[in-house]
Amino acid sequence: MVRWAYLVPRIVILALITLAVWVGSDPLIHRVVLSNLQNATGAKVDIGHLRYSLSNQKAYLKELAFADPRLPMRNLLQAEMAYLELDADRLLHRQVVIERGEASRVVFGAPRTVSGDLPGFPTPLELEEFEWNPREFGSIEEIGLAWLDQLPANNTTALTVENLELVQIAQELSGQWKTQLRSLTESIATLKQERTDLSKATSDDGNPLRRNQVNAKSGFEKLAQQSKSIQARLIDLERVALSDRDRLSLAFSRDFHKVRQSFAATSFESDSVSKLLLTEFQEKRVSEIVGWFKWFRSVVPDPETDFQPKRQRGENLRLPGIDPKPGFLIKSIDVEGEGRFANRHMNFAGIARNLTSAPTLHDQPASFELRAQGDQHLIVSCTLDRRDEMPIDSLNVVCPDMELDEQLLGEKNSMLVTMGPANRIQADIQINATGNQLSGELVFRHSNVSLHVDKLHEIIGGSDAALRLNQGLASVDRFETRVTLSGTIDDYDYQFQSDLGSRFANAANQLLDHHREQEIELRKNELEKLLAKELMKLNNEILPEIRKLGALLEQERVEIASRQNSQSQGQGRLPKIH
Amino acid sequence: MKFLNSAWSSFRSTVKGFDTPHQLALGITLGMVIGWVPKDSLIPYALGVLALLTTANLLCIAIAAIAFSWISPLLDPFSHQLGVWVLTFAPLESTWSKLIQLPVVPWTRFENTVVTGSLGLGLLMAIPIYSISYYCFAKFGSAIYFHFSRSRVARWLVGNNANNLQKS
Repeated sequence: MVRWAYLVPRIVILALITLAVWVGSDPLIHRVVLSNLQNATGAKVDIGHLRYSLSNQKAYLKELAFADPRLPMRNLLQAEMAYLELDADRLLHRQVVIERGEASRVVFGAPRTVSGDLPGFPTPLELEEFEWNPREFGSIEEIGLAWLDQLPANNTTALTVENLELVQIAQELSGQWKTQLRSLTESIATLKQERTDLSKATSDDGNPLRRNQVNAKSGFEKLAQQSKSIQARLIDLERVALSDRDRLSLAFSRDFHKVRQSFAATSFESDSVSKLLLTEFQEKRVSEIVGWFKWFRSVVPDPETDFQPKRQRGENLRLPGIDPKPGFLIKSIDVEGEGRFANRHMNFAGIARNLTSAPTLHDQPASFELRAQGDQHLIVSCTLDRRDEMPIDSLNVVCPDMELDEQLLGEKNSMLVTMGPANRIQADIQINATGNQLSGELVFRHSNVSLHVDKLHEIIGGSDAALRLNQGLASVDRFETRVTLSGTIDDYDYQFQSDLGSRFANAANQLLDHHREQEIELRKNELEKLLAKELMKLNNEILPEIRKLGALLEQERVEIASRQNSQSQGQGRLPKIH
Repeated sequence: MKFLNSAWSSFRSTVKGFDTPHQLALGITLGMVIGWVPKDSLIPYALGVLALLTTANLLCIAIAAIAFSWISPLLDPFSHQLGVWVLTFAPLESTWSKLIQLPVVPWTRFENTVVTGSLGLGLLMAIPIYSISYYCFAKFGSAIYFHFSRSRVARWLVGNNANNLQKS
């Protein structure tokens, strides 16, 4: 016999429980989910509204916020709404597996009005709020000085007209010739005077007895000797004049060689130019990108270390033959939202995969593929592999097109170059971190580049050379830089290679070589003019003067010879006595 | 409405009926087991539903469950030891492995040492607790009835007429 007194209340209680579950499933699930999530993260979780459909295993959440267990006054992430599709089969096995989901208006790192600390949970981990500070730059002045040191010294300033051998010889010869010609002229004039005087003295004055025949003879002989000596000097001078022509030609050759040497090619060496122009610029970029990476690592907590789950009673034993699975897994979720990325506000959209509360129990690493749109358009894909003890993270950022502001490259005391504001940059960044060990390659492709040399050290031509360089640099409209990262994430090192140096150096060297050749040609012309002038002086002034003096001397010699002859004839006859 | 009225009357009768010592002791015992097991497991809820299917006194179940829930954490070290022993008991290991692969069973969290240990402890304690409760209810039932019939709870349940309370 059925005892209704016992049965009815039990049926009523069961009915009430069923009704409560049916009607209050959402609040119940709300409470259960909150409790589980809070227990898992060790920080407060807020869910404004939760609706769960048992029939199709879909959950709809509104105003979802996870407090950061490391920074209680900040949310790890919050989403305005989320739509999740759960794997019903896995749910029966106590695994919350979200096969697919969508979360919209996701915000990372938003501040909280109330603390996210949970009473009864361990104290939040001590974590200083991440602040990105660019690393101190190396001394660009030292790089500038080193660049100047490696340049070949240009002696054009030391090469003055006074230093030219041709000019010195010309000046020297001019003085010598003047002296020698004057001396010769005077000698010939003296010879002539002496001949005239002697002729007068020996001429007929009506008294042959007063004539000193012996003295006259010796006088004319002496004059003949003098004339011979003068003639020898003249011949010698003519020979000297001819050798001076050769001397001048040789001096010209030596001077030209000296001019060539003094205009030694100011060779812009590619690597050093790249280093000078890009070190500071690259330092900023690398520092910024490593900052992004650090920020990214700091934003995504490590479930193994950062979460402080509530200490559970007892231990969960691993049963033989059973591979433990993560209790919470998001296989794939589309996210759309906004956040600050490397101190910049960004809107982003993308997909996150394999997010789990226990990465060591899952066979795939967590990954994110996001497109961020802000001041810059970025495609970010990131893998956070925390399956082993050593975390392995990789970040790939592709920036298809970014406009750069005007940039100053180089250093004011050596070479300062302005890169115009319209230049665009395409970046392809790949950074890997195994533990704290950093590696990676950063490629920056610049296009639409306009370079302008603002300052150039005097040693390589100063403002004049800068002016000429600016004409040549119009051909440098693009360049590429590859940066290789090494070291640790907190103490990284990098090397870079860029074709800017070679492009810049090629353009500059071509232009400066051309200018150098022009300068040398100019100096050569000047030297040739000087040589021609000096040769003309020798040919047209000195040599004719010598010949003229030679003619005068010859005339005197003839006079002297005729006087000597007449003296010899007169000496043979006795004077007629009238 | 008639059904609801009848249901409420029946519910009251479970209290005012002041069941037999067996029903009361059974209630205490079941409540003890339910209270002992951690509540993040499906086991106490399943036991609760099972308890409803028995003739055990519901009030005793509720009181015992609440009381033993408070005491339970104090016995965690013993529960843990017992749980470890049970779960690593070689002849049963394959059974546990098979069990945990069944749907819904993982929600019982029986792989947790304290869950299994406290359930085991509860089951081990069931006979002593039942015996003690039975003895107590049989010996002190009248006194308990006397005090209970004067309580506000009793008046709220059955009204001012204490005769409505049946003696066991």
